[in-house]
Amino acid sequence: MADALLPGPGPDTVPDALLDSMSQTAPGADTALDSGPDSGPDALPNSRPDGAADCAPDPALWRILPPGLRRLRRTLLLLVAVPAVAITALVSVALGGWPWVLLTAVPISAAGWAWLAIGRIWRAWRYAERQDDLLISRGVLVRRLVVVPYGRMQLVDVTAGPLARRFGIARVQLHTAAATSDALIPGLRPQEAARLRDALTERGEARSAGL
Amino acid sequence: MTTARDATARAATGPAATGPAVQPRPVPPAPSSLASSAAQPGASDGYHRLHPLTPFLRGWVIVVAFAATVGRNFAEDVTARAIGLTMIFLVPAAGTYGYCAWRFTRYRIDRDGLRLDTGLLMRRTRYVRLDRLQSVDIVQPLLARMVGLAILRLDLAGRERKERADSDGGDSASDLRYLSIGHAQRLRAQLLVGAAGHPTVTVGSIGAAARIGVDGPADSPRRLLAEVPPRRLVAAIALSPAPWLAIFGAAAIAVPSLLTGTRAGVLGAIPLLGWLWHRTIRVFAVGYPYMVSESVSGLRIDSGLLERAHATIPPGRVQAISISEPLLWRPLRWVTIRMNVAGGGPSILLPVARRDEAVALIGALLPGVDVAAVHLARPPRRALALAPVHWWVQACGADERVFVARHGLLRRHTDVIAHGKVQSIRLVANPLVGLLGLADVHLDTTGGPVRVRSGLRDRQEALSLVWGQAERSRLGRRRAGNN
Repeated sequence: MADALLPGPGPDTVPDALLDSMSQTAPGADTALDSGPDSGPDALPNSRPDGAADCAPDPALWRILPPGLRRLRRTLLLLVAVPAVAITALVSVALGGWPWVLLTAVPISAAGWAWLAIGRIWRAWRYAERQDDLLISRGVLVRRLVVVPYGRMQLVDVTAGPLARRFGIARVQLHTAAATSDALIPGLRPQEAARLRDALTERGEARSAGL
Repeated sequence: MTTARDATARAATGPAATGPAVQPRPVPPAPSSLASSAAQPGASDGYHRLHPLTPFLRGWVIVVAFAATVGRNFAEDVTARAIGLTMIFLVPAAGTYGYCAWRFTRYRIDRDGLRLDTGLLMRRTRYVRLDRLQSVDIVQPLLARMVGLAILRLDLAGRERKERADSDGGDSASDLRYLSIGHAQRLRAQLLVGAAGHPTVTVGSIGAAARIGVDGPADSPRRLLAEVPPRRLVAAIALSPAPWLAIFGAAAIAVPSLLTGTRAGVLGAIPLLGWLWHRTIRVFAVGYPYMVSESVSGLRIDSGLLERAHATIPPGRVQAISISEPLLWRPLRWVTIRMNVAGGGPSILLPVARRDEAVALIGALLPGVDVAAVHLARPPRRALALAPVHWWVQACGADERVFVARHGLLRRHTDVIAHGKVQSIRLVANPLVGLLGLADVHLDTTGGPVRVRSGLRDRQEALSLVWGQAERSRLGRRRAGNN
């Protein structure tokens, strides 16, 4: 159970810029609203930085996903990349001779790039349970942060395919009444997924509000 | 073992047996207002049937469709005998189907909800919980209206209707079609008492004395909030671009072919004329007698010239509201108000209204909210790089009850969402947007025409917006829960 709670600032979890700014406090946020040219001094009275800074989560709350997810994705990548490289090599040798073999660099570099991308995406994906809502932050190229209040959760899906089960991974998806809220945790240890599911449904019941 | 069997035997044979262990026959208490309507047969066990004219109203569609296909096939050598033969087989078949469908459809109301049994071969029972009811509509298509019948439509969350535009389509599985209009009104009043019994936010304040009228046979008393003057609606239609596009398009197609004497171009203009009809006469017929009022059972919208629709949205079921101002209406300060109701209820709140009326109407729906007074802040000036033309339109702001966001250059939208109605909050930074240190913030709401988002905010500001909104929404939900 304890190993599911990986500490945030480990060597493997370089916080990206989004999280950096999340953990920043009042001085950074202070200039935010008044930087608009037409916004007077009274812009957004309720999101005053002092209030907002209180709500920003403690960086220690963030949890990253288990390495099994990265392993699973890289295995899947290898299953595609190795045959692709082999076929490219065979075809280029059969057709053209040695300079054409350089073509294999294309699938190899693509696979290498994907290998690194998997690592970065895995590292960027994290979640935090707060008092009243669940936070999910993800994305490298397109950064996203989702806040789902427990009281708004309609149902929690936990799914694990056969391959994911071999890697000890389960996927948790949260649904609200809005189709657009994409709150997804792609991989958790099954015990952690079950714990999260139970915790979410319990809190959802406690804080449930009508639509 | 034997005693139990004895007990059941006793209960089955003699009504005199008063064994407390076995209930005789469960007779749910039929509500007085329903029991009084003796026109509904089969009410003995609490179940009711639809109006007996239902098969005729539903069946004629089948007859016409079948006749049309048959007629087209035999168009060459159609004789009176062929028509007669067709009708001899068709009419009894349609009649039998209609009768059976009617016979096997029944519904019952108990304390928590409505139970609807349908299906001739495939039996289906649907249970509609009253506290999950998002809106109740009475719809009267023209034909049904002529014989005094109506459809009672129940909208539930999570089953958004695909296409509201088509005449009376949608998910008919929880429609009661057809009921007599009086019966539909009584049933609606009864359902709404149950639905409003679990309010999340009260819609305005109406004297407690008004509650007396709820159980009566007629509608509950209501207060008119807004209506649409016919002259303004005509002017609004004339000021929208679609009719003019249709007219000029049709003329551009038809005139050259008329001058050269060919027939084809005239035929080509027909779809455009259909569109013209759709955007003028139909818009008028839907929007002319249009009344928005409030009652204890919620928001009422009565509309329609030929096809009447009476929607009732229980208190606190409006999720988000949008004021949109088309370019041509702006000198007149006219707006359209749209809204999201979970479950695909009505999506238009008012087809055309003055801006101050719109603000007042929103103030009546969300007490204590003045949209015009909410201060809106624009994105930082560096967002001009991504939105050179419409940068100055984009703005967002919040007060202690609602979040307001504005966007759209030609058709300017002002979206309003009560803090407690936010389903989830998302911050999205695309690569391009992120490069400039900006981010978009979306406040997700249930399906409908309104999407609340504030684009191109400064990264820091967007984050504090997210945290601030999470806090405001938490307070909003708690306030709604306490009511």
